[in-house]
Amino acid sequence: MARLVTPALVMVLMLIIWLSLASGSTSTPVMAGLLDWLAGRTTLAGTIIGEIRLARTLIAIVVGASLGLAGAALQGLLRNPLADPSLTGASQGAALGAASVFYFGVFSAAGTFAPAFAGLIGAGLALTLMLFLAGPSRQAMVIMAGLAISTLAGAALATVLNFAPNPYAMQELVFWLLGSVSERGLEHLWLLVPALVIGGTIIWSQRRLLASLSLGEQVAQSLGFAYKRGSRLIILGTALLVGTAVAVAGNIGFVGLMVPHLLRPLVGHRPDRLLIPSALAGGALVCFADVMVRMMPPGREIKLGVLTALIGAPVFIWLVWRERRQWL
Amino acid sequence: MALMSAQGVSVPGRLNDVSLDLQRGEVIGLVGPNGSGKSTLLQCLCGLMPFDGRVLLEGAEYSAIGANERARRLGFLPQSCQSAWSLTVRDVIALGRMPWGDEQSQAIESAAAQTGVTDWLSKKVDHLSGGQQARVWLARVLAGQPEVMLADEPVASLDLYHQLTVLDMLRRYANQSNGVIVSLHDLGLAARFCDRICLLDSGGVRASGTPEEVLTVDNIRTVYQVDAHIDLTTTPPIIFAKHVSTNL
Repeated sequence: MARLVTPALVMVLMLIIWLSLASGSTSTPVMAGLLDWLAGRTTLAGTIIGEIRLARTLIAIVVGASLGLAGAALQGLLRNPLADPSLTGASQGAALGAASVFYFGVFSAAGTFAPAFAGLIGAGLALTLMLFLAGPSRQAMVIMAGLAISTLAGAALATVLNFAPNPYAMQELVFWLLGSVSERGLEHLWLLVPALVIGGTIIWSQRRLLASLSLGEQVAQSLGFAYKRGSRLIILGTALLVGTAVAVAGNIGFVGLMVPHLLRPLVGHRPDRLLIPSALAGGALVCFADVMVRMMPPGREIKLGVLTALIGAPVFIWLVWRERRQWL
Repeated sequence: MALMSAQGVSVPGRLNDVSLDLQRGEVIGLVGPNGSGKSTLLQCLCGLMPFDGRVLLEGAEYSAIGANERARRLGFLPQSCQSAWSLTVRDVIALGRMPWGDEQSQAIESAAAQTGVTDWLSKKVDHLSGGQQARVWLARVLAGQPEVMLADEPVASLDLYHQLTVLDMLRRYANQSNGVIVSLHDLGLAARFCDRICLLDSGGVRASGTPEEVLTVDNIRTVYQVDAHIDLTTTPPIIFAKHVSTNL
């Protein structure tokens, strides 16, 4: 069954892409619009499908894939099924980094890449601090250390909000933090896709380390793996994925937690086999959630990050409940 | 030439100038009280911990061998093992093939057969009992077909049946022209299964040699602060603590 998971997820993703291209406030022929856009013809359908829906769809998929893959890699590295970009402080670190760009104009030389660059540094710093704080007994301490670092990054973010130059800037930042893939253009893919490719390749190159870590750091080392170097690479890859995803789309929580968890039984619980399915399912889930956002009655749109949190939080509660029963 | 040779291995505050030679076909038992440096020594020998001194594998320095080659030739069975995920027994054993970069089913099945876990290959490892799991962890090491096995208290929490079966497996594995260094708390088992014994105390070697040379009333009194009843002439050899020593 494990072999069928990836092809099945590819098919699901294709279906959801189609659904996403077909969903919106106006009914537009998908194929005709796509062909018009590809041929460079300026028709209404071409503009709606190519410029608006395709960008939104692809951004949702790449953001979801980044978060799903980051979650799978973090859970494997930390040997903890509750590890997630937002529970380890990475998302808050990235948000803080990106918010600093909006407010203080740091890294202005990097132009449009500045938020992603700052997000990457924020996520990387948060993860490194969390690992340092968790120390050698990582499996047990990681969630507590993650909570501490999230709180710290959250406090710094609150300070940034507190000293917002004007209420509009604050409102803009808050809305961005809630997480969304709407009103973003294809140019954002120039940030997201390279980050997904590079971060994904780094993590993929360490998949055997992730598998051997199932039995702990000592066993992994005794099997010939350079644990320190490998774990730093995984942190770097995760920071790339989370940093850019959060910088472009804000906080879209729980994807990195839920997706690997739901898929794990389907791949025989093997951390190395979980990576690609998590990326595919993460992309499919975020894109599907975005379709749901668009299907809500017109008016004030619910933010994508709010929706994933509303779905994800009960799943998280269920996970904690199940973990607790294992210890009883 | 010795299969493995440790020369003046030291870790500040934990190990002090430990030397030993392991020959092919030999089981060496590391014994000593808690904190005497057994686990530290095994971790040094396995290359998991930096140390002063030299460890040679058939005359070659570790630095000349490379981590992957070393992992192929050395198997390490840690003191406490647990799988973070609900892997199948086959997948756990397959991890032992990591240094070879394959999941050769012949090696996996042979390791499973040697440890008697063939019937559970498709079972989840977390559904097995502690004793059954211990055999799976051992099979994982055997699947890598190492020449030297370093086992850190492999029978510490096992029942009598599994204590004997696990040590018997290590013994048979050494007999196939391999070498085993195993740390043990039970001196009777050490005398029974080991060719030579290295008695550690406060990070240094107190005595080293055959069980008869090392496991003496005097040595045990000095190191463990207990008076022991020792009879190595019986089968199996008998060693137990009578009472806490008063004449130190």
